Amino acid sequence: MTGSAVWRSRLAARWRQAGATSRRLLIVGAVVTGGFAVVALLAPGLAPYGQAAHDAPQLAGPRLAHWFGTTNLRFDVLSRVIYGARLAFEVVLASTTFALVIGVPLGLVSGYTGRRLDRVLVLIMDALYAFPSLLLAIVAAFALQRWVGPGVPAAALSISVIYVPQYFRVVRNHTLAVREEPFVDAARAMGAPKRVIIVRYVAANVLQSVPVIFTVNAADAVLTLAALGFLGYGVPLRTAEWGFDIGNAISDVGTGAWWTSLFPGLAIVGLVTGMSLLGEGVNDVLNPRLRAAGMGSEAALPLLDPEAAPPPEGAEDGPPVPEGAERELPRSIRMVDADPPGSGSPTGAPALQVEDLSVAYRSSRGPVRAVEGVTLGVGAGESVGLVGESGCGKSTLGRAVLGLLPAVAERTGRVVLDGVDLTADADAWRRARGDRLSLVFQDPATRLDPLQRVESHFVELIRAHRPGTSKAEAARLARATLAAVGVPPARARQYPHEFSGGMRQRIMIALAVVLEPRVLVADEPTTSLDVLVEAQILDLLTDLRRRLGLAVVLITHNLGIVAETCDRVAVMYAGRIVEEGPVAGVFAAPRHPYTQALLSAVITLETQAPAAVPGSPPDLAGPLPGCPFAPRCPLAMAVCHDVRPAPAPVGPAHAAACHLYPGADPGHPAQAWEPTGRRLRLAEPPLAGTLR
Amino acid sequence: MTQPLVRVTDLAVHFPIRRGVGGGKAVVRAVDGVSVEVLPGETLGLVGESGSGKTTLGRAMLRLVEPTAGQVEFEGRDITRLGERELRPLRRRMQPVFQDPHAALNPAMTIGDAVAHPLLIQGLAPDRRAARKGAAAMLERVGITPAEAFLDRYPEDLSGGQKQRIVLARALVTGPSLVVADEPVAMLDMSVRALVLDLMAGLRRELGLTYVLITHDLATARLLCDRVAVMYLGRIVEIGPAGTVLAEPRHPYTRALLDAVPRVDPAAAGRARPVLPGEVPDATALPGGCRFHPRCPRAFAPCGSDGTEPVLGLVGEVDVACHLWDNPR
Repeated sequence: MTGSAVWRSRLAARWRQAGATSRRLLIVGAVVTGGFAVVALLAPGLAPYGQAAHDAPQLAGPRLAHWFGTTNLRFDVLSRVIYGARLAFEVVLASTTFALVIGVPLGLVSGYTGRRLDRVLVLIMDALYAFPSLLLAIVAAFALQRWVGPGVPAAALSISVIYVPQYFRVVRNHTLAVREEPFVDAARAMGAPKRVIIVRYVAANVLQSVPVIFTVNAADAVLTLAALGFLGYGVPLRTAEWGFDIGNAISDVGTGAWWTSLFPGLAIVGLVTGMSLLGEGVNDVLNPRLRAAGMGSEAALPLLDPEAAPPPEGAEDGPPVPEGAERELPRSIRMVDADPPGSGSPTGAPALQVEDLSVAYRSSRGPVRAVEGVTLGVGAGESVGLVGESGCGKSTLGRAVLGLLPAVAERTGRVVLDGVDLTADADAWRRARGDRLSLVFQDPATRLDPLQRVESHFVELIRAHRPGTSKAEAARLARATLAAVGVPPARARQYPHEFSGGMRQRIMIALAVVLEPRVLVADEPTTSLDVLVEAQILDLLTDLRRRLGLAVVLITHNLGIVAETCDRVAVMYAGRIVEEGPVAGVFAAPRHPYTQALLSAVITLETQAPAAVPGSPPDLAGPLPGCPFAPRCPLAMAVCHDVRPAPAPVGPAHAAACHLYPGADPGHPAQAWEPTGRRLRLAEPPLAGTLR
Repeated sequence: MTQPLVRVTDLAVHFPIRRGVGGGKAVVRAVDGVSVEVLPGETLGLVGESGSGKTTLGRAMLRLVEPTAGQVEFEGRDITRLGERELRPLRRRMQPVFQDPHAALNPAMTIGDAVAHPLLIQGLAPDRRAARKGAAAMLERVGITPAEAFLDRYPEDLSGGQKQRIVLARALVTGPSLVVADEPVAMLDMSVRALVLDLMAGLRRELGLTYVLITHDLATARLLCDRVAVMYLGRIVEIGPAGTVLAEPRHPYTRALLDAVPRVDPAAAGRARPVLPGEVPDATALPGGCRFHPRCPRAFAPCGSDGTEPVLGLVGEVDVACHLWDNPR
């Protein structure tokens, strides 16, 4: 079947992605567990004596005939340990399989069906789950011994009672999430019966988590079996079982016979460790996202990153630390008498200067060059829009400026903030982040800690960067800033979920500006918002920029937003800036064919026949000689495929990296231009039919 | 007068929710008294902010949510209370297209199986081989070529544009008359939106489809729709020909939506546009009077909590629910 081949290749890819540590864990765990499994399988051949043969000398120490010694019941310890492994595997496999067979279907049906069945099952499972697990197993073992009689099935069933609720809960919760996916709606809309939907659309996606629980539970089951045996429940007397043997050996300890308890004990520790390592490893390889979430925590909440706090001795060369009560309100609050520094005209040296910045992500296919030699300056009070298709590197550039790249990224080039090269001083970068250099993300819902009141987000941030500030002072500042962005200060003690999406984005913006940053990077700040709220947020950003003299980098795919709120625009393609200039100039007369194509693709209320950009962006892992847009460019010439074009001036403060403009005259007036839909035609007609 | 393909009468869809620990129950009135007809062959746009009820109305037309009150007729037949078994044969004639192409395809199913499955479920193909053949033909039709190269691939390898074409193929493979498309291009890159919209327009012509296009993007609605219904808090506040509604809006809400659309026109750079304050209120506690009055720049006495809720009334060729138009001249 082709499906299994795909799964194999996916697993192989996951294996490569997993870190070396995870892989080593997995290998060690697999070897140890595998070793025990081999011993268990070959027990009758390996064990020198039978498991129930009790004709050895009583309580004899290790010797040639009995390597691990003998017990007071005249068993050979080595044989007991070997047969014990066999029993452990039998019971563990049977119990986890029972639990899986009962718990998984119940979880699927309960989660998908919902309503009363779900409520009843959840109640039962929660009750079982709340019960101390060993006690539960003992009760079950006691009952089953009466009905089924002692043996592997009884022991396995009594242990499986502990795990059924675990499978049930994990599968049910996962099912609840998958049930809401559009592809399940699609299955309902095609009239698929419930049973088909559960099996082919829900179970197929939910069961990925099962192997992980399986391996984790297996280790736990070894311990539970031993505990039951130790207490005298579970398997029949005389059956070799590690826990039972240890329980038996307790009285020997006083006599100095260490071997009767040590070897079964070591066997338990060995198998549990092996299985746990295996479980951890499988988890890491199958669910790389869980690991990534841990790794990316810094990226998730950079403003509250504990690392962002200055070292205890205080910020030596950081911004002046105002003292508690002397702390001034942000300019945003006392703006009434502040002079707006012109309508967004850059003043003096740029607040942010990015120089020849490149970022490459390590991948199994070689470096993915997400950003390639970007140079960009943003002045105080100026707003630069960064636009391009998804995957063009605009978000990576934003993160690189903040110094928030993931570990797999390699960066070269400089990021200079107010004349300080942050790339040369990791400490200064860390202090600046959340302070003079701040960030607003696309989705405010996931960037606020749901368990913290809005106010404490501010208090934590302020006190991390301004250690002298009192809590009361920080809270006062928080309220003043919230008021300035249009959040009623009375709501400061509410939790994030009590706010609407627009209000949460206002809170994020307040967090970003509370320490009066010099530079604000806004990555798709309004993409998750409705158009009316988007307009409010954009107005707020523009207002703050003018009042605080912020240098704003606005990352967006929406050219309309750039046209209305930015002073300059930088168009990115394949990690490079291909055109840059004043908004009015670039939008009126775009020079790079990519910018022209992008503008033609915008659908506006006036669009009659929209144009698409044919083809798709290049693979950034491959070699990109020449102009990366050449394969899609209607005007490509021979030179475009071989020589990388350098940015050349094409108008006042307007540059394009395109061979059409080799050192064009900067004074040359830009040509009049109209979108493709009306005038310029791409190489092939982008639209096969016409609309309406 | 042609028979409408879909006729929705006084439809209400309410969702009960629980509020926090120990909190009381509340009802979200997602759709709250909507009557609308979809004519065969037309494209009807449902526009509005999130929380306006446009998605729920679309799902109710497909019977993917249970109506609380009112009636939904499809091809002249009342489907409001039909059971899943009776609905099954009708399902092939009405299909959804979703916003997020990445979530709309089952990650555990190959492209071929995903598109072939509706044929098997609906009994339109005798076996899997025949169904995959039908799927391949539809994939070619939506521009996934050569289809054979895609049949055994999983969705994760494909781009958003490709996935949305496959979602379209899956919706169209059973030969529906009605397609309810919920933000079909919102998650796609600007550069491929035109391709997908053009494909949808072409398929509508070739297959004689009727679209209900749910979108917050007025420009997309303007481009694709014959008629547009503007929704606010579960009600239609304005409905009429797309060209008229989106060029000369009568309702202050429609006006506000149009004003808020960012323009790429460089001449408009930095223009101060009127920004409507506030946000869509909680649909569990609807304002009295006109639902829009707390945000409306033109609200006057009859609109307030003491006033009455305006009803749709014909003004020219457009139906508007607004007290400003109570006595059209």
